[in-house]
Amino acid sequence: MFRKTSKKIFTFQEIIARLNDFWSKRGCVIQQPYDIEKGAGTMNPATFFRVLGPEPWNVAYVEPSRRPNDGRYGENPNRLSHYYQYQVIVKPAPLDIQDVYLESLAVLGIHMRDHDIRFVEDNWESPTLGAWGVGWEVWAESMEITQFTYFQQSGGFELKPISCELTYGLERIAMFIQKAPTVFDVRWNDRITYGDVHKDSEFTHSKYNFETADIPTLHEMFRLCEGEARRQAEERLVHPAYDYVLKCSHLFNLLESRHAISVAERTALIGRIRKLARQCAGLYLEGREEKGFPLLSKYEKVHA
Amino acid sequence: MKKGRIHGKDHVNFLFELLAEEIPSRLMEGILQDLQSKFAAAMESAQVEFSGITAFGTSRRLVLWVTDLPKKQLDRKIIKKGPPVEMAYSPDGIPSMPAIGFAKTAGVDVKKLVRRKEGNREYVFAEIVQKGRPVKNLLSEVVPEVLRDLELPISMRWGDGEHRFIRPVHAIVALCGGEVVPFTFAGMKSGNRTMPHRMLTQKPIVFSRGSKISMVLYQKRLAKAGVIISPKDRRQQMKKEAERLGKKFSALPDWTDWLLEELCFILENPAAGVAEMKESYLELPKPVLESVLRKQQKYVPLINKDGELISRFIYWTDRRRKNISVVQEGNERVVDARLADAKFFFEEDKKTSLLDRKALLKHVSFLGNLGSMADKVSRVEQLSLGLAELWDFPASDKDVIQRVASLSKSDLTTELVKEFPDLQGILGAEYARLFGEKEEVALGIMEHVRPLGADDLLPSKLPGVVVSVADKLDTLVGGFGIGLTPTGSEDPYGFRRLAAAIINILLDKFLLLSISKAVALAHGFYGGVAGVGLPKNHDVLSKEIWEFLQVRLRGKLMEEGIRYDVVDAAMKGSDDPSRVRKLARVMMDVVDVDWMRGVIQTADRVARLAKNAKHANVLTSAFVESDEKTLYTLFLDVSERVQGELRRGAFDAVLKELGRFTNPVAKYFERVMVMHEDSALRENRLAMLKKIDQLFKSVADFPQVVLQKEGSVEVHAA
Repeated sequence: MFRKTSKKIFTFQEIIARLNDFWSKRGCVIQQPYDIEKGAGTMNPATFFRVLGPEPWNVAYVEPSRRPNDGRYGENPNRLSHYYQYQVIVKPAPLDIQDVYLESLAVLGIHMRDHDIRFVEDNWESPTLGAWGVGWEVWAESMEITQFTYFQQSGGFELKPISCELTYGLERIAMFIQKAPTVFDVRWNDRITYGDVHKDSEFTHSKYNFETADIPTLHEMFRLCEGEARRQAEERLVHPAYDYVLKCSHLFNLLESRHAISVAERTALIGRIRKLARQCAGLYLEGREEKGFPLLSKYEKVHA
Repeated sequence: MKKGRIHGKDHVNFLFELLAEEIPSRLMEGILQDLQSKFAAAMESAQVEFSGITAFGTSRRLVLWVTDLPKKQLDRKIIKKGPPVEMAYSPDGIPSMPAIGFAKTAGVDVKKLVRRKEGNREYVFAEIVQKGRPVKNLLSEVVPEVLRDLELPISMRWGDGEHRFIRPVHAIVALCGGEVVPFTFAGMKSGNRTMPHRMLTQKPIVFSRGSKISMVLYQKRLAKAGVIISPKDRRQQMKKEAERLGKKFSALPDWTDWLLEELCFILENPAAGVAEMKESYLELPKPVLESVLRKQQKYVPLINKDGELISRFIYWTDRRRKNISVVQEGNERVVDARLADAKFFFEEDKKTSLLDRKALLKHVSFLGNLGSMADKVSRVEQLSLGLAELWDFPASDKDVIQRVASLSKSDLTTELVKEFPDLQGILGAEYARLFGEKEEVALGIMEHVRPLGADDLLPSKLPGVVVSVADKLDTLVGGFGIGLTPTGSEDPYGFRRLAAAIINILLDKFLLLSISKAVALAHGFYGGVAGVGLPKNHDVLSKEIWEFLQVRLRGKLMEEGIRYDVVDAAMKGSDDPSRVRKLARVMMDVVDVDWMRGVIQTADRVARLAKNAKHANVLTSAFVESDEKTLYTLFLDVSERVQGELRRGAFDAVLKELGRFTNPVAKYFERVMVMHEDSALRENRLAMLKKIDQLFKSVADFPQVVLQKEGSVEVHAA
C-alpha cells in the first residue's frame, strides 16, 4: 500500500501542495483559510458547522492559527504564537481512514517501514465550542505530528454521522522531514526559510500579546463583539453571528495571555462564548434543515 | 468450573479476537479482566462448564481463549417461585387467578405446578425443563451480549454513528471447533479472518474452517504476521532487550511498572534501541528528566551502579526494522528539543530564590475571588502552626513547619513548574536545596503536596504532614466558603481528592482532629491577614465539610472491612476521623455479640420514647417508683464513667459501661409506665430517657446499626 516516493526532501510549501493534491484526489473540497483569527482549524466554519447534521462533507484546508500564550518572541526553537495547521474533515469517516491517513504521510516521504508511527491516546475537548472527540495524537519517532479525532459532539449537539478530523502540525512535520533544528530553520522554499517569513512577526506579536495589548480596550472589544454576536444571532444571521463569536474567542485568548482574567471570570467568559457558539450551531442546523440538507443528494455513495 | 483436561470428541475450544483501532493502553488491563469475568459469568449462568479461560491481547486486539466447552449445553431445570399456596388455590383445591397467571408467565400447565415449603410457608413452584442448545448457538448470543456489557470508561461512535465501542471495530474472529460462531457486533460480522501488524502487508490472516485451532497455532500465525499476542511474552521481550542494551553501557534499565504496562499495550511487537542525550542535561533535576523520558517520551532511562541516570536511554519502536538509525536519530532530536527547553527554564529559575519568589505569588491567583497565592501561603502558615499547637508538637518542629509552609508554593512561579505542573513541590524541594535550605525543609516542601492520588505516598515526616493537611483544609474551607461545592460527578477543583487526602493522612498518622474545630480555625484565617472573608459562617461550613469528608471516611473504613452501618453510627458520635475509626473498629469487633446487641436494642428503645420528650430536666423529687430512682442513679454513674473513658478514647470500656443499661432499662420498661396519663409524671420520665438517649448519642448513633437476624439465613434452591 505504501508506494515508493522519491527521496526528495520537501519544503514547507511543497508539503502543503502535496497534501492538497492527496486530499483533492480523495474527493475533498480544497478550501482556503478563513479570514478571522482563530485558535485552531476546528473553529473554521468549514469544520465547526459542517460536522453538524446528516450532510456528508469532505474538506481540506490550511488554517493559520493563533495561540497568543504560546508565543516566545521568536526565541524558542519550537514555540509560536502564530502557526499553521493542515485540517482535513472526512464525514462520514470510512472504516479505513487510518490507512488513508498513513498513505498521506507516505506522500510526504514518511513511510511506516522507516519510521516509528504510533497512535497514542489523546482525547480532545473544546469547552468554548461545546465540542469533544475521541482519538489519538499521532507520533513519528515520539514527536506529535497530527491530531486524529473522531468528533462526537459539537456546539452541544451529538453528531451523526461521525466526522474524522485530521489536524497535521505543518511546522512539526516540516521540521521532522527536513531535520530542522528550529522551526525558523524550516525551508519554506529553496531560498526562503520559515524564519524569513515569520520571525519578525513572532517577536512583535509576542511583545503585543504579553506586554502592550491594552487590557481595557480588549475588555471593551470583547463586550462589543459579544453584543454584535448576540444581535446577529437574534436576526438569525448565523455566519455573521459566528464571526463575532470567533472574535470573542480570540480576544479572550489575548486577555488570558495578558493575565487579565481571574479563575472565576475565566469560567464565566468561556460559558458566555460557549452559549453563543451553541446558539450558532443550532441556527446553522435549522437553516440546513429548512433547505432539506442539500448536500445529502450530492454525496450519495461517494467516499473519500 | 472443572479444572484439568476433559478434552474429547464431545468438547471444543473457543477462540475470539476483536480487532480494533488503537485502544488506550491505560484501559487494556481493566477491559481484558472485565471481558474474562463477564464471559465466565455468562457461561456459568448458562450452566456450561469449561476447563480454562484467558483474556489477553495487544493495543489493537482483545482475545479470549476458552478450552473444553461441551459441544452441547446440558438440559436445564429452571425453578420459579409462585404465590403462597393459600392464595394459589381455593379451599377446595381449584387453582385461582394468581396461580393461573403465574403458570402462564412461567410457561407451564397450571396442573404441573408443585407445592413446596419455604420457611414456614408453602408456595407453588413451576419447574421448567430447558433443552440444552448447541454451544455454538449459545456463544453467538452470549459473546455480543458480553461485548455490549463491557464496562468502558470511554466509548465512542464512528462512521455512520450507529455503533458504540471503545474504538472502531475492524474484524472479529469467533471460532468454535473449526466453525465460525456467527454474530454481529458494532456493525461487524464475526468470521475467520483478522489483519496482521500495521507495518506488514494488508493481506488478512485467514484461519481455515474445518480445522481445529489451538492456542499454539493462533500464536504462531500472529507471530508470523508480526504480532506478539501474549502480553507476558511482550513484557519479557522488552525486559530482556532493555537489559541486554543496558549492559553495553554497564547500566541497568530503570523500569517503572506503569511504563512497562503502557508499552506492553502500545506496541504489538516491541523492539528497542539506545539513544543519547547531551551530558549537560544530566544537570537537570532528576524528576524533570524522568518526566520527560518516561512520561512524555515513554523511554526507559538507564542508571549506573550508583543509581544515577546516564546520558543514554532506551527508546522503543514497533517491530525491528532494517535501518533503525533513522528512528534513533528522530528520537534524539525530539528529546533534545524538550530537554533544551527544560534546561533553559531551569537556568532561568535558578536566578531567583524561593524566598524572593514569595513576593511573585501576589500575581498568581488562587480560587475564585479568594485572592492570591501569597494570601493563601500566609493562611497556610498560620493554620499549620495552629495545627502543630493542637497536636502539641515541639517548638523545634514548629520552625521547620513554618519555613515549609512559607516556601511551599514559591515554585509555582518557576518556569519549570509551569511546564511540568505535576512536579509542583518536587521541584520546590530541588530549588530549596539549591538555595541552601535545610534538608528537612526541602523534604517538607516535597511532601506537602502528597498524596496526589489514591495510590500516592503520604507525607512521611511531620512538617510535610502538617502543611499538607493545612494546605488542603484551607482550600476546602475557601472553596466551600464561596460555594464551589462539588455536585454530582463534577469536581472541577479536585476537592474529593483533597478530602480523601486529609482523611488518609489523619488516619495513617493517628492524628486526632475535630473537623469542626479545624474548620473554625481555618475559617478564622480567611478573615485575618488574608482579609478576603468568607460569605458562609464556620458552623455552616464545618457541617458541609464534615459531611463531605464523611463520604471518604466511610469508603476508607469500609475498605478496612467495617460495615457501613457501623461506620455511620460511629460518625454521629464524633467529627474526628481517627476517633471514628477507633470506635468503629471496637464496635465492629463486638457487633454480633449478645451484650452489644443489648446496647443497640436498648439505645433504640430509649431513643424511640425520648423523641417525645419536651426537655431533659429531670426532677429527682418527682420520682414515684423506686425503679425510677435506681435507673437515675445508674445513669449518673454510667454517665460519669462514660465521659471519662471517652476522654481517654477507651471505646471498649465505653461500650461496656453502656451495656450496664441493658437489663435495668428492660426491667424499667416492664414495671414503669412512661407514657403516664399524668403529664408531670410523664414529662419527668421522658426527660430521664432523653438524658440517657443523649448519653448514648454522645458515643454513637446506635440505632443505625442493623442487627442481623439470629439463626435463619434464607437459602434459595436453584
